[in-house]
Amino acid sequence: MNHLEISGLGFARGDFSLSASLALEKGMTGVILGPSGCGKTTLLRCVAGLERQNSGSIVVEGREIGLMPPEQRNIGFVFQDLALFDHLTGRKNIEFGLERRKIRGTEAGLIVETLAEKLRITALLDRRPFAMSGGERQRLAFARAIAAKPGLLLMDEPLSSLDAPLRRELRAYLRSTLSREGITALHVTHDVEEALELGDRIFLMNAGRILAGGTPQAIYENPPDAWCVRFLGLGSLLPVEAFEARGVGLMVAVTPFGRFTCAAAACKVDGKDGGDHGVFFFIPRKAVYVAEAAAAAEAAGIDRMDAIVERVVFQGNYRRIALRPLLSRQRVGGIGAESSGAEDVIEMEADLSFRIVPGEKIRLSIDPGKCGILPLHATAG
Amino acid sequence: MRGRNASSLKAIAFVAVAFTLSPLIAFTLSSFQSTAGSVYPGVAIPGVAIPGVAIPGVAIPGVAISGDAGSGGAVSAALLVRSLFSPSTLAALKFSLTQAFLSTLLALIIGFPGAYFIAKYDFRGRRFFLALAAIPFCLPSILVILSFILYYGKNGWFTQALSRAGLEWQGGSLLYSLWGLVFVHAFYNFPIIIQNVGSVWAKMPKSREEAARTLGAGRLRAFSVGTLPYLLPSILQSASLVFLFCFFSFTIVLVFGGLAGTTLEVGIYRAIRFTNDKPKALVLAFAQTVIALLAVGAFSHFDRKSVAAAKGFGESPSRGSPSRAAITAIVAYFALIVVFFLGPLFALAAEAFMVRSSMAGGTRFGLDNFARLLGLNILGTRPSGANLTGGAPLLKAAANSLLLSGSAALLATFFGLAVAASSHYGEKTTLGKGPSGWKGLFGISGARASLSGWITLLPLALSPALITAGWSALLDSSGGILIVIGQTSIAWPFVARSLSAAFSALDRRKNEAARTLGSGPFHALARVDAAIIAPSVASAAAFAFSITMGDVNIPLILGSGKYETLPLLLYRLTSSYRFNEACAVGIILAIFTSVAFFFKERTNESS
Repeated sequence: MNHLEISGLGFARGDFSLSASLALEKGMTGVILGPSGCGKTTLLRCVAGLERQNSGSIVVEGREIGLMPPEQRNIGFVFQDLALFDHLTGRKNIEFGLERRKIRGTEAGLIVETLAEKLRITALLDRRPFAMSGGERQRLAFARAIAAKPGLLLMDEPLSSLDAPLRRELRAYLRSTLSREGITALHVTHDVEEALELGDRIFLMNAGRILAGGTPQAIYENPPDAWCVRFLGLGSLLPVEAFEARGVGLMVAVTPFGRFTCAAAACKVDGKDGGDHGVFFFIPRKAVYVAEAAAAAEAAGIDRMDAIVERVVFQGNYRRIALRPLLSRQRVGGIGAESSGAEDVIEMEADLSFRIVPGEKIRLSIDPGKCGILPLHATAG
Repeated sequence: MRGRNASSLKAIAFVAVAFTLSPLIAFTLSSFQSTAGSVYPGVAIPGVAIPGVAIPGVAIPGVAISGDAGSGGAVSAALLVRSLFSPSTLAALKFSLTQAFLSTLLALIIGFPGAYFIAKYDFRGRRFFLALAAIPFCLPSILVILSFILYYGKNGWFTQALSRAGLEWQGGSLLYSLWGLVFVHAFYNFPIIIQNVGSVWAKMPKSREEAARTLGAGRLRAFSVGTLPYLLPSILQSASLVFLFCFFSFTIVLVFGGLAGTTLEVGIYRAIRFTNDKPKALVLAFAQTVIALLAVGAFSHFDRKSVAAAKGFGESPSRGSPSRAAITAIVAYFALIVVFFLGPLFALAAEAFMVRSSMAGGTRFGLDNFARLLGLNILGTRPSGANLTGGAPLLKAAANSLLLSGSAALLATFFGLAVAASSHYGEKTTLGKGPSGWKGLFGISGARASLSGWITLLPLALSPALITAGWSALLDSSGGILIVIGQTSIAWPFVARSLSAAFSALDRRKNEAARTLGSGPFHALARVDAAIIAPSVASAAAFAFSITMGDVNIPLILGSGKYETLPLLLYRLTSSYRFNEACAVGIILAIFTSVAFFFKERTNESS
């Protein structure tokens, strides 16, 4: 049975509307990942009871909490600005939640001491939050939220205000504490790297809808639409003019830059309504010099694409190259990159041994197993 | 004649009651709202707007004109209109405007360099300039008057120093002219300019001015393009506030302005106390409120503009250490303040311990002034003027002051807190950090510029003399209760303003955090919101105490000799030219009123 189950949760205010369903097993950390303004914080606040949803249910450990006031929901919440009580010491901050759950005296003291030791914040207990560093405040806010062993921990971008090295350090700390303590948590972030590090499950969210949910790997292997590809930086996109079935289980996408084969299962557009043929998505992996390709008598046109190198950026272990694809044939009008959602520059990684300078022409081969045809915007799943 | 007076009395009483009860009305109306900070503008608007806007604005002329049953409304209205345009009303209006305008101008001129210094430089004594801003709020006007007489008067310290230096200066009589009044007002209020303009200036990035310079503008042009437009709202904000204070100035005008002219507030006082011409008082008060509303509107408008201008400022620039030329300028400015402004205060402190012996013709230091006021007979000197200082007048006055002004301060704190809390939880709460303590009073805040801002500003546009007279007529008493009510009415808007600033700095998420940790709405309110606000309430209460303790206007207007307070004793000693004893009372009074200042400094440091 799922530990947390949100079904058909609806929330509307002004022009904004939110509609979400998700489920999380016990001990898992779910990450709600999406751009700012997509409604992820609102979703979290609905779960906490700080906003009142219009419809739907929220069930934690088999208990419907959707209509309860926040104090009865048995949750922990880590706020974006932490919302520590500056008028109380670190210890009093942690004890605040215990006291409300009738845990007092030596029992409370023992819990605080043990927790403080585990979270390495013993030295902070007698100080006031305003006299602590950013990282210390984070740890204290985290300790305060989990002290009373809430059934569900909610975290609203608590790491977003930290600088990069501290953020990485605290991310690892959070990860290990969550799994060691077996806490079921819902974490909100717009940072892809953070979502991958913390999330056992990722829920991809845009414009008030959850577009995909699953393990990070499943989402990476099976992105639902072009928007997700762009947001997660998964690969490159080309506009599709038409597509046709070829052989058993194969599909050919016709693009201005060539024709490309992919698995029929990777085609998520039906193309029947004529207008939207979707976008061809691929992960550019292999590039060769055109001269070599000519020697191997490979022709551009099927599963191959010629491109001009625009920029080469040294990245340490590899080079990042930006390519401008060349049209495989003359076409009337532009390629309409804006309207199709496809990029007109393709970025890929190249081995350091692959020596190349801007202006050179190269040929890309595209692996039929690593591409597909996606809709521009998936309907919420 | 009787009928006219009766209807005017009714009008005055009505305004007074409505005004004094307005915090309760506002609180009751907005208490229908939930405490979680949700928005019910439909209730919040009448809750705040009716008592704040409608009552003073409509009731004064409306009730006055329609309330006369005996002689018919038209006659009464005509009389009021005639009174409004009578030469004496117009003269008072003109004098009020002139002195307030000139005072504001001079305060701007004195305050502007200070604002520049605290905005641009880090130097020893910067905190001193910032702390000066408390003076207009914590130092009673009666103390300023006394100290300026001692310093600039005919035999004053400054006058004598000049004559010893061989300079003839007719300062003594100058003090009692329009220019003297302007001078006193300007030096009383310039710290407001330093504080409000300086705080905005300090946050202004240099980049706009630098951009103008790189585009070929000279220093002056760059300043006028890159700085002045962003600074102007805060200049006008503080100027309209200083204007308002000077426009309502009562005691200072009563003492110094007497020969030069009469302000509206003094005119109201005379009409009530001496000529018993109630319609005249009403008309003067009406004219005063109309002008004051314009100033209040300007204050509110420019306050919002200042905040809007500051929104795009980004990160505050760091302050540099002053160059040699700047150090010279700061030292010169500091000297100016010390000589012209702190000098009088120092003179007051010193005179309290000086004993002038008429027989020996010399002066020595001692505690005789205090001893005489305490009814002690030390060194065999006989207490003189027993009619004034018989018994132990200091103790009696201090006890009265503590009892009456203390009660008024408590009541004002309660009302102010009720208004601030109800408007905070009734209106849409915005997250933000405003200034706290007395800096939150009339500092650049913007946060409360809307409805609740108005309810705390509007009382500033009403004549305290009229309110007090109204209560006096209503209760038909001259007792201490009237002093308490009167002082409560003048103090609560200050409390409400200062607490509104504190409430707007309250982070709603802290309340939410408590809710997620298991607190119910009332527990969260008590343990989190109330605990965070508590120091501000204490400091606002101390501030209210400062105001009520220092107030001499209400007892003067009531003329209640039965209850002699410290400021009243000070006023009467000053009027009888017993300056040294007046100074001794002044020291005691200053100790009480500066409690608020030190209180605030302490709480500011701990947060």
